[in-house]
Amino acid sequence: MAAKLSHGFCADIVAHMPDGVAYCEMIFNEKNEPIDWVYLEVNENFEKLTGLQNPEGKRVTELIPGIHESNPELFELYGRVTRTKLFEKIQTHVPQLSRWFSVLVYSPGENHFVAIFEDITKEKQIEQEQKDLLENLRVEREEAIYEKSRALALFENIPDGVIAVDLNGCITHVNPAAEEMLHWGAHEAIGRMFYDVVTLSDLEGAIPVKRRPLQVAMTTGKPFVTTLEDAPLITRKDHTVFSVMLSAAPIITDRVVGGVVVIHDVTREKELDRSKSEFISIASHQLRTPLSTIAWYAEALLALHLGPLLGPQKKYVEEIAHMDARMIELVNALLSVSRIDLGTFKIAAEPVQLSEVVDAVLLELAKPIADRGLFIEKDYTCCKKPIMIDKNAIHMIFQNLLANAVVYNKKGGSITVRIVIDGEAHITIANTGCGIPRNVQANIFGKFFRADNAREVEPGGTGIGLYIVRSLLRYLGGSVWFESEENKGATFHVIMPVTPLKKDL
Amino acid sequence: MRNKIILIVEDEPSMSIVIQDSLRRDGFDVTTAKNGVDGLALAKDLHPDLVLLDILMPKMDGLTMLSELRKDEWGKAADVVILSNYSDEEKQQIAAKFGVIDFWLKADCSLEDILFRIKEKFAHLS
Repeated sequence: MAAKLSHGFCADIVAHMPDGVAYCEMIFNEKNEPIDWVYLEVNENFEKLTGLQNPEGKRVTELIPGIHESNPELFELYGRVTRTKLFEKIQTHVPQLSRWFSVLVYSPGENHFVAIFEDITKEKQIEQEQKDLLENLRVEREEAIYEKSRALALFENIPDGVIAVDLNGCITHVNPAAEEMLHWGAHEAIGRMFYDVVTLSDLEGAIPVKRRPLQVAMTTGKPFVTTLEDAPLITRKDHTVFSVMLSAAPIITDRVVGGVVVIHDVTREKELDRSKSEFISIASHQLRTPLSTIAWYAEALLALHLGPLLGPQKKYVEEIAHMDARMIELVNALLSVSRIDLGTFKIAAEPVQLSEVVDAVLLELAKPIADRGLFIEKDYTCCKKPIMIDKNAIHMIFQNLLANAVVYNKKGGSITVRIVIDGEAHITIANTGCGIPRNVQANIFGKFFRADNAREVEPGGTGIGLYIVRSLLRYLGGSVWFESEENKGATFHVIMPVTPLKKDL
Repeated sequence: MRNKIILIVEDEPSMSIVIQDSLRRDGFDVTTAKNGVDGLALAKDLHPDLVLLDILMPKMDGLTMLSELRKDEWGKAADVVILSNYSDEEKQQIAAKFGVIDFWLKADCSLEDILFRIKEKFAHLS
């Protein structure tokens, strides 16, 4: 066969063109189907582009096993071109070579064809990447649209007012709830400064700039939420005022670019708090009024202001006074429990020297201590510093625990109080009394619970003292527990943090 | 030396009777009023040396009477002790703002306590 490609003028071109060139003979089967081809001649680049070495004289099915199954379109194409003598082009992927080719093929004559091809694997890769990129963008766009719609739905329908500002504090968005709350239309408010539209004040007057929630959030880069206790007030254009909870947060991309404020009207919560408080106060006032009156009349009689009293008369009046005093104690305890249960106790921490509180309570209990001939041992050696705590709460805790230590003690017994402050405050109160039997220890902190042996010693106890102690300690961030055995006294332990938790009860 | 005059403003008659009797026994001149309106009028009229003021009363409550009293020429420096069974921090703060000598919870004191404290106040004030 005469070498065509290597001849003369064309030879140079074929040798130097970047494409691969293959001159082949098509092979058909009995049914005239194209089943193979033989490489008659190839140019230099053929090997570079296909990775197939020394193809001349070999069949493609030898060189690329499985090519007939993986690329039937090539067989079809070459077979057709060989017959029709038309020029055709195709792009195809040959998996065995992991390449994409763009092929131009024609037939110079007989069963021969010439295929001129380039490796377009790179282009195909880029094409696919672009497709993937577009698909990702499409998905992202859809997600973004969804998010936007969701945010908008939230913004429009949330019952709290939402206002967004830019980095200068200028209002950019106002939701319908905010419009209603503030009596400002969105179109009027947008563009104005936040604090021109939202007039904030608290009990002391206008809130200074550096304490304003939005200001704080945008300068610190952290959200700021006001508390129910110190709820600021907003004054409307018509001078009506309402209490709010404000939640201000900065909008941050790589730096603060704006802010969002959520306004929650707490008028009802405040009113509820107030009416709970009032209810308890009024209820206890109503209960105490007849009780104090009875106490004073009994006192006047016993002081013989209205003349002498016969022995039995004196005893009966004493009993009236005694029972009345029990009722008053019960009312006081119920008042505390109600305040704790309904959450209207306010905690105000101040520096308190624990040993002073214990001493004050022991002084209040001086008479019953003397009556029982009790010996008090105090160990304050590790109680040097005052701790930050609510004075009333700690007084109540000690009052209850020490009163118990006195009342349930043996005659001539002792009470030991030890205070250790070391990272936290640990107070121990031990007595030599009737103790708490094992089978009731689990219930001893329950409301109105009284152990049988306790009832024998003191029938008039309320059963609420330890409940109050435990509840108060919970709110102070502390805890209480005890060790005891029947008739062997009891030791109560109290642990409290040295710095307070800022909470309302 | 004349007796000290004490005005008790208290709506529960049985309560004001027992305190009045007790204070009179100890040599004080005692007048009573049943509500803030009568209390205010009597205070301005008699210029008592001490007013024992209850909080919850009909017609005019104790704190309102106190604020009105403070508007009076004599009343603005009058010595007032709140004697009530209504223990509410807010009320205490309001009373403190108007200037009271003390805030006594009835359920926490005996007649003797009240007598003792009053005598102490007079000794302190003179």
